[in-house]
Amino acid sequence: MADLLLKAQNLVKSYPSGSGELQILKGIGIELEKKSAVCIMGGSGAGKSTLLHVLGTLDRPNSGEIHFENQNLLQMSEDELAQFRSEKMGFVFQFHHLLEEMTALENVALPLQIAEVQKKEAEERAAVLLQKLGLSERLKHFPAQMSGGELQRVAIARALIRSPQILFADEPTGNLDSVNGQKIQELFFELRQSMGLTLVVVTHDPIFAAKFPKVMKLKDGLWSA
Amino acid sequence: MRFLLHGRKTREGSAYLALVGIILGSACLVVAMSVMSGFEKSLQASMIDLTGHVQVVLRGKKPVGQPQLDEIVSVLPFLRTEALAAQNGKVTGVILQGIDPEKFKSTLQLENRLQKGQLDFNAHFPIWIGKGLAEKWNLQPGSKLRIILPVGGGDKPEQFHRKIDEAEVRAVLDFGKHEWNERFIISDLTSVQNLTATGNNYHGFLIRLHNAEQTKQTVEKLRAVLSPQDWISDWRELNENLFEAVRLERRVIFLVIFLIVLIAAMNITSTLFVSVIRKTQQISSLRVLGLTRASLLRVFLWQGLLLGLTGLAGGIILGVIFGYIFEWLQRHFLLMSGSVYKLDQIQVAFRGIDLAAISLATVFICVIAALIPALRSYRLTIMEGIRYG
Repeated sequence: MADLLLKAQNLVKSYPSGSGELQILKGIGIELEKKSAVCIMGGSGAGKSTLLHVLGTLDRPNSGEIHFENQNLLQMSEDELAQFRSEKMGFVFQFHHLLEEMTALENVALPLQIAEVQKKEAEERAAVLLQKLGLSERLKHFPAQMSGGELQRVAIARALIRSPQILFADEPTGNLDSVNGQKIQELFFELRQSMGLTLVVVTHDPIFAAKFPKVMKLKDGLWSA
Repeated sequence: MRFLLHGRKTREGSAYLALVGIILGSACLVVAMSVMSGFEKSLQASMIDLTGHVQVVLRGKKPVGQPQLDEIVSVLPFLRTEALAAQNGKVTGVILQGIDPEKFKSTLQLENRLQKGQLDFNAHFPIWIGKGLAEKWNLQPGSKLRIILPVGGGDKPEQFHRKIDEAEVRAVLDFGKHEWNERFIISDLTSVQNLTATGNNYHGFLIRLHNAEQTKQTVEKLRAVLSPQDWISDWRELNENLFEAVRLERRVIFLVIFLIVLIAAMNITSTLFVSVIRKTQQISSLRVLGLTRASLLRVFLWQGLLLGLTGLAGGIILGVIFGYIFEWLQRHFLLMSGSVYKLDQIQVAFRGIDLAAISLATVFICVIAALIPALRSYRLTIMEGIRYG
């Protein structure tokens, strides 16, 4: 248990719908060890993305508990969570969510600037990371000037710039062609190795899922065998 | 804080339009307030230049000597009477005021008001007239006109007679007020005493003080020194109704023109509101990256403040330029009818208190205008932008 990074219990999440409450998560839990890699699979509407958002504190569950290294995350205020999230967690989504007005370099430097790091230092660190991810030629390019694979690599760099302990990825290759998707998949495992990341990835792709040591399947808001 | 202000966002046309609205609104306020203050200042200056800070009309026992207080710079005895002026068959009612030729310079400030001739009394019956009378009757320095004084000797009509003397125009002045330019005539004390046959008597004193704002206290002190029947009044009391009307008008005009700023501020609200809606996804991304809701609130309020300050700075510059253009136009074209507004020309006065009130009100309303979209962004949940990204 010494290696446990995140433990969630009895998570319930429902949304209001026309006919009452639509329950997405029905009291599930999960334990994630440090430096582990877990893939979450399931059909559409099974609750994969909702679980990822709840584990990443982007959305609050109706009930349940989430502990991160013995800290009860759901007892924190919104601003405390924002601070905690920026230090400990990284997120990559199916869509890159980069700011269109900013260059790749500025986008990656953004989390550091939010944390009050000086612009020069933030951009120096961002440049090093982007070079590491093979984007040294794209530092001054705006999102509109880059390919889908490049955009997703910039988004990964932005998620990792503050050296988080855990990286949540929601369908990170869902919007890419097979060649670029393959490259991004390899990148995730390289980074996990080099940065000691805990990796939680939601995907539909069975080939990607097959590369994970642990795959968990969701069905109708509950774990299935 | 920098990233929401960064890039193309600030170059959006609607933000520029909101800024232009604030600039125009605050410029209108600056011009309107400077014209109102200029009107008050011009009126005040013409009163003080011509009658000093305090006027004493002696009605009781004549004092021995002249009043002496620390606040007083100088005291000028005067004799004032109503008369008729006549020339080439034209007649008009005038107010003739005699002043001591040796002492007038330390009490009255007429040098800057001189338009033609010399401020001297080198003639048999020398007079200084206003530019209105000079224009109406085409009078120049050296022109002659008759001053007619009705003198009443008793109750019967036959006891009334008239005294006439021929006066020589030595100077034409701009007395400031339209009415004075048409009717006011200054002469030396002896000439008026001779015409009115009052010996060496005078009606009272015109008094100049060190500080124009200390008149009330000085009037009180003079009341204690002089006879209770004496009439003592300061420059403000002499036109109390007019000054009060100007003060009231100033407040009303401020509120009416401030509506322009208010409407312009609503442009800020709509611009930022659209920005919040359009950038929901980006705002959510920033929240994911650790931006707190308080920071987000600050970003939008900061934008309101920035637009307010920029618009205000532009408005003040534009307002000052418009003010000087107004002054220039006044010198070349008849913009104001003196018979209606009392003054033919007004100087534009940019008072610190006016600018401070405009600045505070404008910046405050711009920040409030930004508060509505700021609160909208504050209430956005992260999932609103991420789920449908």
